[in-house]
Amino acid sequence: MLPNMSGVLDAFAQAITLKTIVQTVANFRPVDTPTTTTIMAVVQPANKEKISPALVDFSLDYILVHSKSAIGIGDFVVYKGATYKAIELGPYADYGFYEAICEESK
Amino acid sequence: MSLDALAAYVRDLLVYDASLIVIGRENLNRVTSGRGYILIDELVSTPMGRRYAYNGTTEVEQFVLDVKGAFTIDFFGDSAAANAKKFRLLQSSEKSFELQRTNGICVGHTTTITDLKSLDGNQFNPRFQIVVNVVSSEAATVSTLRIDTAVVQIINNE
Repeated sequence: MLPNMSGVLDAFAQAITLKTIVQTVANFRPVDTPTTTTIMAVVQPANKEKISPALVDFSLDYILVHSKSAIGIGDFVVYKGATYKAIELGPYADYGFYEAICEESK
Repeated sequence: MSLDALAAYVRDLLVYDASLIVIGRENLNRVTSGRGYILIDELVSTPMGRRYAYNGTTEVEQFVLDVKGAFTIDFFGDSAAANAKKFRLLQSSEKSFELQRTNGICVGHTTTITDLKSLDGNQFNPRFQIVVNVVSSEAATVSTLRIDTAVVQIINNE
């Protein structure tokens, strides 16, 4: 029986905005349909050195988000007025929470 | 636009799901294993000739550029190789010529199918690329008033 670790987030979580993106193709071009919700999440700066070199852009900000709410690749997180796009996920769903590395989106 | 015309040509030639044919890669989430996307992109294009026409009734100038360009067609998914080979075979069909006429493009025959997954750093998800030369025409129109009566002034510098 795997432990549910989601309670660890409660003391450090704050409300942020999550834009869940459903992508479809219309007229041969991808079309994003966002659904905006408010979720509780722990936000930390991400260590750029640990992000895949093929993905990282050192001129951008990266944050590490932990939440009980599911975050998918391509979803957007709005934190302190800045928008970040989830580019990498951590496999912690079995332990009760979700992890995402998000890249600043301009 | 050439990309739209080529996308429509590929869709109809292969009788393919239009929602899986995407132009370019801008803002497209990473293609996942098994999804049979076909991505169409344009490389360099070269003008071959220019044409001009003026319609005095509608008062519209038309500027036309004949362009030849290299386009890439990337096949993904479990049937990537089969679809790439099917495309290469069907290029010689009567349907192919009709679709080129309908879409206003001329698509050159391809000979090489390149396996790109190793260049992608991807060992498992198939990706095969075809490069085709496409000749098409681009046009732009400008509303220009017609001159009905020309006012001619002769300047004599004697």
